[in-house]
Amino acid sequence: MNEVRLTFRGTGGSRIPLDADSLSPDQFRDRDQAEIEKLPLHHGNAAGVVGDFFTVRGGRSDQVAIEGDLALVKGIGTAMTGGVLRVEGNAGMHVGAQMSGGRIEVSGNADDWAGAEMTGGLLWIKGNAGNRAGGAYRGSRHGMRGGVVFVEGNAGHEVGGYMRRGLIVVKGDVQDFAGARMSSGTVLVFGSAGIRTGGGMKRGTIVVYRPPVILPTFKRTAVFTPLFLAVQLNALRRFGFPLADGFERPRPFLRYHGDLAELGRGEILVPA
Amino acid sequence: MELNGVPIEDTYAEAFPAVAARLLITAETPEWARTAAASFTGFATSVIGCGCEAAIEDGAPAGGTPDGRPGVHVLIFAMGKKGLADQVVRRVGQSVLTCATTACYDALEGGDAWIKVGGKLRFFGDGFQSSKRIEAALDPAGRARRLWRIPVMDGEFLVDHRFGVATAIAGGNFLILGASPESALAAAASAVVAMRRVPGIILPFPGGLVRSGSKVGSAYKFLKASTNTPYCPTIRGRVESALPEGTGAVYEIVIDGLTAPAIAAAMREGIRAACRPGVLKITAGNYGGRLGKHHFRLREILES
Repeated sequence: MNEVRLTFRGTGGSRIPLDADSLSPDQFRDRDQAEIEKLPLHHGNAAGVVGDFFTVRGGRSDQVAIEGDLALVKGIGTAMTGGVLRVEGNAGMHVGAQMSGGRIEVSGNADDWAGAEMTGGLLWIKGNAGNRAGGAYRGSRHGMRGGVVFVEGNAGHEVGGYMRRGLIVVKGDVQDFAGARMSSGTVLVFGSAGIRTGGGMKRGTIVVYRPPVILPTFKRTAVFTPLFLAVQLNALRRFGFPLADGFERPRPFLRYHGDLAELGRGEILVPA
Repeated sequence: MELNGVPIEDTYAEAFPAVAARLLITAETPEWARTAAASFTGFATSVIGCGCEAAIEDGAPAGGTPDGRPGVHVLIFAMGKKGLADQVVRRVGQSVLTCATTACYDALEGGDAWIKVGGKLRFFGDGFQSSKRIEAALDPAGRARRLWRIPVMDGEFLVDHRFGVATAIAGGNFLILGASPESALAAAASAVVAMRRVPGIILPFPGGLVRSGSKVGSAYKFLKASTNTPYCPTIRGRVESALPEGTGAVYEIVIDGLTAPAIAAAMREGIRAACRPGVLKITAGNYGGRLGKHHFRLREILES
């Protein structure tokens, strides 16, 4: 299948973000080049079309590449259900938000709310992610409900906040409130985590390889070898996520359970 | 037809449709994995008497298992999905869950149906069990997998929520007629070694072979199957014997497999290995084609 390639021409020096929910393989699958160019966008309060900001090549494909610095382009791949979307550069806020299938790759950094409330599929960020990756929008009961978010760099605050299912893997560090109020799923951090990790969590697992300060509402239980983690890590390695050698082998972790201020059935695992 | 001077009777093995599951048991060491697998497959020689037929299929190197530990594949066969589910849940619960350091995964590719295993055993966790999902995005087949974590006294027992079930075949067989018990046993043992290299099959009887082959019916009203009188050397002369002059012992090798080609391949390897000095004939067991829909013709298998 041919690829649809979009090249971002910029917004004429404006710092106003471009709302681009229509940049999704679902929208391109059955449209030719001219039809894709007419898909609606919003720049501030001005309505526009894709052709105003992007040069489009190809059509009728769910294999999409978008090139350029898209740090101020919001909502790329929002609610996508399938296909492949490659962002060759940075991505703005809400990339992959509410996606349910397919795969998004961002070669640079992604801004806040990456993969927010997604229910399936894969969002692979080769650079850093902003705040609330895999999180919940204000007023929502749940954040991410399925799928996988890979961040090869660092991530901001509230990663996996209100998470309901799914897997978030951050190869670097995360900031405060990782996994706060999560009710299941897994947040896996190979670096360090900021304060109040897991605050208010009901269920679910947070793994942090550089042990954070544990909230007093978590109780230390025991050292054990979590085989489910070895299964997750082996699956990641087979998939091609760049894990350091040996990380996938079963090894002992110290388990804290909490948050006892809430249901208390969650866990934070740190290497023993 | 002869192979290495051993006559191959122009007959066929009659086998039956069955259902099967394939499990992978991993543990801290290959020895513990094999211990659990041996317990799981214990007393599982015949569907009639044991409710299922099961055996170790092969060892799995640590690099190829979901948790990166050494493991053992086992195959288990039953006549129906309900009976299979009952046997798998009982055996995983009593023989794998109980065994030090083990975990148990579904290892069947391309099953037709599912049976709930971890989904039933989880209640042993008394409310402290939890589950983990391996997301569909990480699975080559695009299928999410749910694993149950059941707290036990050495940590956690990890088991798949459900296991795949495949339509399979049970009861492939051939018989080795030897001039003496020693020559028949040596030939059968050689066949077993060769057959165990074939993937997708098991030999459910002790040591891979059976001395008490059976026929349908008996002299007693309450007994539906009895010793295979035409192949028992010690009553030759008292019954209509199928044994050539000079036969000292007969061993049967029964094969259950996930596919017909796998059973045929195993029979081919086994018969070739069994055709050695001291063997008088190779034949196979059937019921005139009335009971089983799978027929494995010995000569066709050897010529293919």
